[in-house]
Amino acid sequence: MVLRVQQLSLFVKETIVGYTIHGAGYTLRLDLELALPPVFMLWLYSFTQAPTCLAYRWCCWKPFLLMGKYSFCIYLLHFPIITYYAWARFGIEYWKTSSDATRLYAWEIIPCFLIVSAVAMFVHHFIEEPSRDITYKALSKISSIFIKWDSEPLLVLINRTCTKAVSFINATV
Amino acid sequence: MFFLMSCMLLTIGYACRAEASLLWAWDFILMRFSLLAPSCWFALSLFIPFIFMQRQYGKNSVGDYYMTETNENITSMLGSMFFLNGWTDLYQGVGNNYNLVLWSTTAQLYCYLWFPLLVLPLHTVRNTARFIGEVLSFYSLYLFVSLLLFWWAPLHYTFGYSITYQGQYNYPLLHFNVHNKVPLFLIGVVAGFQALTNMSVVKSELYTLRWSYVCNSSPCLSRKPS
Repeated sequence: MVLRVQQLSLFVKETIVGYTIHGAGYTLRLDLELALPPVFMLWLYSFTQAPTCLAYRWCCWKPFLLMGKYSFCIYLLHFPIITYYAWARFGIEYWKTSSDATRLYAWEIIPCFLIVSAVAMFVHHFIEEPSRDITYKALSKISSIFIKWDSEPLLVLINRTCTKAVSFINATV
Repeated sequence: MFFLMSCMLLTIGYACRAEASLLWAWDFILMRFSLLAPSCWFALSLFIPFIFMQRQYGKNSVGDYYMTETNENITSMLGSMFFLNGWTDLYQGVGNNYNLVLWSTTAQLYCYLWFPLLVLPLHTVRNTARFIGEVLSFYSLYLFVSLLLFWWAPLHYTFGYSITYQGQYNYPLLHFNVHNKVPLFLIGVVAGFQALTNMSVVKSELYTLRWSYVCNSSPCLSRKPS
């Protein structure tokens, strides 16, 4: 119990005090991750209410829209592509030696980003988009063999219970 | 922000089509899975050569780019393929994922399982006070779950950090966990419904146009809700 309290106090110290001591880095990221969700929510919500505002128009800039289109593939592929890049650059030494000896320079983020973007575009157009419907149809077909929907749906019951609970809370409050 | 935005767009796109049936819920999950899975599987296929290199030289593919090491084995690969890593082991979600970035996709799919359950009970018209109250309640829940995760974490768990990092492991502890993302997802649902209530989708062409840019995966916005 004492250790748990110590651990929790360490968390509080690192979250609140740690920011001022260590500055940026993971501690700051932790602070922001805990503190910022309501701010982000307000920001997104404001977009729905004021689509003519400058921030929204800025977000609708064509390069950003393109980036948004390919963002999932860029996100998924950046790690393996960077590893392949390092493998190509250092050769077999990348796997033989320690991580410190095969460290990429900061400027190499530019070629890496270009390669990742090109591969992401390819994957989006030739894998993600065409295979979406195929995967859905195949999975639906497979699931229809194994799962029968004749029985009383459990979700109806759960939804009804949740709705009743929400109504009860509304009536009480 | 990713979770908030994703859920908000999902709510706006699916709210008018949601049904209280298991069939719809299953169909929804299959749709989301089909959207995510193919490109994830392609990305995972790029890791196959890394398995052989790791077997031969003992070094895994993580290198310097991430702070933790992956468990590169077949169980981890299967878990990554079906987005299951990180659900059961509270504190090793990222370490068990073959492609480390899949932690967020895993969390996203975990939240998608909650969505059919939550979308109808939360689908109601709110006034501003209630909207703010619900958002703050779910935000408090997020903080509470985050604190609980830290409370239950294995003592002195470091995620491979050196002790010289002085407790910075708190960040991955909360960041990569799938369970504390559900309250964020709930905030997104509430904000999405509030946006639907106040947003004149059918009144203004401009709204529809701009939202269709953002919600390119939500064709519901391009037509009138039934």
